[in-house]
Amino acid sequence: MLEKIYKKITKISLGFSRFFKEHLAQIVFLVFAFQILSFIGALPYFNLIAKYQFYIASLLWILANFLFRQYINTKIILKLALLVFILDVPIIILDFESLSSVSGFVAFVLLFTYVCRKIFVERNELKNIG
Amino acid sequence: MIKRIFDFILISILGLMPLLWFPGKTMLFGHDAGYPFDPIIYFLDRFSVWTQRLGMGHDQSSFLLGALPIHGLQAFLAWVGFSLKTAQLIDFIFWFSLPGFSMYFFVYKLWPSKKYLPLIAAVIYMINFYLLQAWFVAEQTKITTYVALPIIAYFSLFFFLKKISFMKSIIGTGLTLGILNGGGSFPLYGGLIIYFGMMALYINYINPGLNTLKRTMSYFIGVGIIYVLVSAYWLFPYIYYILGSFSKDLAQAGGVGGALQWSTYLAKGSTFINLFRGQGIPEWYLNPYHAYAANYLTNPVLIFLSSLFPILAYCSLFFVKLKQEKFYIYLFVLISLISLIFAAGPGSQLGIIYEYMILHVPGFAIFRSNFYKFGYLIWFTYAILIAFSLDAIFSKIEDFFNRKQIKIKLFSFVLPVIFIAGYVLYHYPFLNGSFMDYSSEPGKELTTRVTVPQYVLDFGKWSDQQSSTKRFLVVPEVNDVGYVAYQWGFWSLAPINSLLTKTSFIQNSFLVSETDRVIMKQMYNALLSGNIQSFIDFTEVYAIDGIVVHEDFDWKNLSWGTTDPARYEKVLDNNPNFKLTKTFGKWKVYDIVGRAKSLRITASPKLNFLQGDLKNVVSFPKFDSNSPLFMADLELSKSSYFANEATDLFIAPGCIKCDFKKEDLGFEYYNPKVLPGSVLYPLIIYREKQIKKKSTDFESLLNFYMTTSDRRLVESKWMIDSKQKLDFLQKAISAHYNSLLELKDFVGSNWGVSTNDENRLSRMVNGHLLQQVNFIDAIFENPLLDTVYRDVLILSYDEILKIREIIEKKMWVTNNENDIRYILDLPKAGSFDVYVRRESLSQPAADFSDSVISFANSDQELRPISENAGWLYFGKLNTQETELKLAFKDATLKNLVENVTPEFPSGSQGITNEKNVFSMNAASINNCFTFTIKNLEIDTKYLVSFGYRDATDNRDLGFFISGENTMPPKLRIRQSLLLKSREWANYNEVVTPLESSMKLNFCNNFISISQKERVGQREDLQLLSPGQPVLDVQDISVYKMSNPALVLYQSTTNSEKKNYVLDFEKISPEEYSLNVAASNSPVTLVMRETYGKYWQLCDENKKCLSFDDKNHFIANGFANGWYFKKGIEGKLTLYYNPQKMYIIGVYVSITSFIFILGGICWKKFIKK
Repeated sequence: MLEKIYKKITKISLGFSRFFKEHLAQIVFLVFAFQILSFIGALPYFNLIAKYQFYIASLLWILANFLFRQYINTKIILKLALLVFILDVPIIILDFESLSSVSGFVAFVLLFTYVCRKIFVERNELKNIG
Repeated sequence: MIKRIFDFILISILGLMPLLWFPGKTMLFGHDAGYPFDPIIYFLDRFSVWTQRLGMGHDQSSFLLGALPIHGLQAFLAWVGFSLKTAQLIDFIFWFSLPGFSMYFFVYKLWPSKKYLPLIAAVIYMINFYLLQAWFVAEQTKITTYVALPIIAYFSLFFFLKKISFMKSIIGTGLTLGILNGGGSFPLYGGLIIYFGMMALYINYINPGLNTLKRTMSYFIGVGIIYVLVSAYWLFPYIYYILGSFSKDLAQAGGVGGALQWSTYLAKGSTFINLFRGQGIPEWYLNPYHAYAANYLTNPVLIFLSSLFPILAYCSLFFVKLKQEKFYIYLFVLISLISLIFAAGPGSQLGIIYEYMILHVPGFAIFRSNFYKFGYLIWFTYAILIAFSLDAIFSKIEDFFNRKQIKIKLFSFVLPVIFIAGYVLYHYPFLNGSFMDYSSEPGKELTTRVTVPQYVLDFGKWSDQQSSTKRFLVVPEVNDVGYVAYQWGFWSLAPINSLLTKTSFIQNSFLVSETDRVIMKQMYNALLSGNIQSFIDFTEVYAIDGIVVHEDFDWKNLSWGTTDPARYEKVLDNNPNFKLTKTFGKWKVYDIVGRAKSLRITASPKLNFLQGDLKNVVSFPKFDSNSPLFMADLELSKSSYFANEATDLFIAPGCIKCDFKKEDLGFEYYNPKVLPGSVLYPLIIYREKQIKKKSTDFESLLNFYMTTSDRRLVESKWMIDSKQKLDFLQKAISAHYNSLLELKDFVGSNWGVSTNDENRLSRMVNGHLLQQVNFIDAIFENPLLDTVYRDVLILSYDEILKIREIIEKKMWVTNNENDIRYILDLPKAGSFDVYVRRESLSQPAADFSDSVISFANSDQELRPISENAGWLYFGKLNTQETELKLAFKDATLKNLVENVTPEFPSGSQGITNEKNVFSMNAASINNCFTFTIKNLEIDTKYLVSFGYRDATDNRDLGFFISGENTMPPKLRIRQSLLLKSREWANYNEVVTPLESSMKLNFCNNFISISQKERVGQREDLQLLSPGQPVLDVQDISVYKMSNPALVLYQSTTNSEKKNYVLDFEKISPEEYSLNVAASNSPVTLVMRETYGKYWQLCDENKKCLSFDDKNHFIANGFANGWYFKKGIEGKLTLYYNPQKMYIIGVYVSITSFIFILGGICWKKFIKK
């Protein structure tokens, strides 16, 4: 039993370390982008942008989509978006307004990503309909 | 085919839903509902750009002039002979069904083989909360755009997919937009614009190339041409409006900043998640008494059901398989998401996009009601996407049963019916019309379902038969909240007459300007108080011929209640100047006796000039309110011209800061973000230099120096508070000192601005400096500062004192009731008679002889010489200067505390009174002394003031006002503790008593029972010698506040009162012809219709004055006036010029229609 758990943990940790080793450049790039964007938020004029953190999150998400395309599957994105709507039901019932507002934005970003990626990928297929 | 007929029948049955909404004799009226009481008259009125329906006349080119198709249908139904209620029901059924049919048409064309999709899409598009919100006021203009969208989508999309020809698509789109035009309201096109933009981008992305781009361009140009041609009848005058008045109207609405503020207010509930769930309607979140919103916001079942909307809509992305379907579904998903950003407005996480567009895209501010202008696009896409998903689900269910060989008869009919039944039940307010009962607030129950009394309709018919130049005053007046409400349920911001008749009615509603409302209020007061001569004068100003009493006005209501109409009736019935001529149920019509001729157009040799507040001069004996009046404050650029031409000059300056409100002219502490020492700091300095370069006038330069100095101090304080960049603190504090030196040099130079501006700017600087001193106080003792830093701050403080010394000489502000100050900015020098209205003094009945008017920089003093009709004459003022500062001492002022004995409710132990200085020591802690002031005038302002000082470091003095016989709760003292002050400080409070007496309470601190024992341990008290006062209070005074009406009068020409207009005829709402008697001396002609730049005056030879002629001015604050220096004579014509554009537009529209329809017929029938 313990050995099984040990093996599982080892497998997961190896998986993680492999992922980090293979995508170190991308991860560093994302972290660097996050740092830069956070720093920019303190600059004059940028500091006037309300809800700036959402723009950082959106930009990082866009970058992540480019960098980890093979992991961020469109189907998963869509399923996640729909899941957000289901998870939102108790949040709205319990009147957690700010949380539901954020989850709505998350659903928006996921759906937008999905449809943009689909259009981008299937562009040739969609040509000359009519 | 049978399925399609079934769908058609089902949509038609659902379309009958409005029949459920109006029980009994109720109909939809009030709030923003634009359904007229007399549709035919209303429709005909739409053929004129100038209308009388809106008070004193109004240009309606911006008021839905394009709503002819909507009002045409209403008028047609009335003309056929249907009763008002039947016509309304037929009209509503038509508009309720139409969205369903248009959506059905579109999706059927997209997916003709889908069995369930068209019906489901149609039902969702007909029944949803967006449309429900529109239906509570039957907003037909919005519904037309809503209906148009699917049809336009068909013509545009099918053209780009090469399924229909170019001509068919542009004619189809142009005609649809031309007929279903949103009443000519451009803001409603918000959703359409997003649709067009997204579709064009999508098509061009999928099929890139010059050919697609050319098709896109040609489509939009083609549609644009057809649309302009078909809509020319309302578009041409609208362009006139945009060029002439749009920016003025936008500015009146608060500019783009105001638009953004409004959007932010509306966007309270329009979050992404709410919009996804088909909600986010502003009223749901802003109106706590909404008819049904609470259920949808709190009921868990309804919340769960609402989350099915986005799930079903975006599940379509799972179900979509075919290439062609994907093409459409991706487009609609994309549009739904983009429209979400705009419908959510500035409050969402992506609100900056909307905000940026409002602030920087010219004209985008018209879309300030974001949800209403973009929300329909969400429902357009949702209807399609949800229907697509359900169609796939239903088809799968059907397949399943077929595979299992379970035969259910009429299966394809049962599923949609079940869905529709559930869907309609979810939208239950549609079933009973309860959504029209839009407020259930106790005492403010409001609905748009009302039973209109027959007498109202009878009155409308009667008034339309009266002379077209007749004008009536409606009583009672509307109260300050501006709501027009009747006991039978009508409630609106617009007067009822605007939907009832084409005749002109005057009422102080929100449709008239604020200035006019003030004057009208005085007119109502004059009638109420029986001051008939003054009232008659007012009626002449507004050319009123009769009075209509609305006995059924909801005058008793707590929120919008007003004067009892019976009080007006009493005055009217008992005065020979008025005669009851007609009674319509609870509406009574009175004529003004002897008013045989309308005074709408008059010409007089007199011309009054007024600078200042009109209400201050209306009762002035030498002020003839009927004579033409130029108001300098409304047209500053023409001021000096008219001051030289006027026969009588009236200068009525307002006293400066007589309300004694504490001025908030300082600035707030803020995070400067970039501090000295930062690598980015040079950018701040560079930016400041750029601003200085751009500041060319005195005011902007002063602002620059002031805000730079503020910033330097804020930076220093921020560094200390946040302990950041402390190495650069010395530099920051020195920079602040240097900025003060620069500011001092600048304020010490010649200002070169008017006295009024000088006063305003110096008050602004004073406020900023006081705030700076606050900041210096706050940081001075901070241990982070060493002696060197403090030395610089000491120098800075001295500089502040020096600057204050300079600006204090320039400030001219009322500081106490004994010294009321005015600034005169005379239009010309010369001799003026100086008057003060006795009634405006503090105690009008008291002796005024010691009142004095004195002047700054002069020893001259004016004292009352005589009295004329309630005005005190102070003699002549001869001045060669046009800018003067003067002060008025009101001798009637009486300190109401004098002769009032103080009371000591808990005994006088520890309270002493020596020469009116009250001292309270530690023995009187928790005790108060009081003064009871009696015989106060209710609703009149009183100024309570006194000086006080504390001997400890605590806030010791509690002060509050209570009723004479009420025992204030003890804890109230804690709430009322005044700011700590070691030095003598002044305290002023303006009080408006609701009773005839009040009690002033002065209390020595508050100690609760739990703290009582610890009082003895207080170190600050221990330092005091026994019996030494803890606090002192002196100079307690209560004055009845006065706002003395000061008038300077100069008469240049002795002109007689005469009317040169022999007769006039109103040819149409926008044209008058008049005969004027010959005159060689100056004459001013006044037409008492709301001022409009494009009212043009022409002579017999058709020679007209230009629109920009300086002699055309705003007379008496609202009307059109023309000044003729060399006199006038003969026949003249007055014409509202945009009507010409309208007529040209009508010709263009009709010709275009004939050509387009002819072309279609030719192609369809003849060519074949």
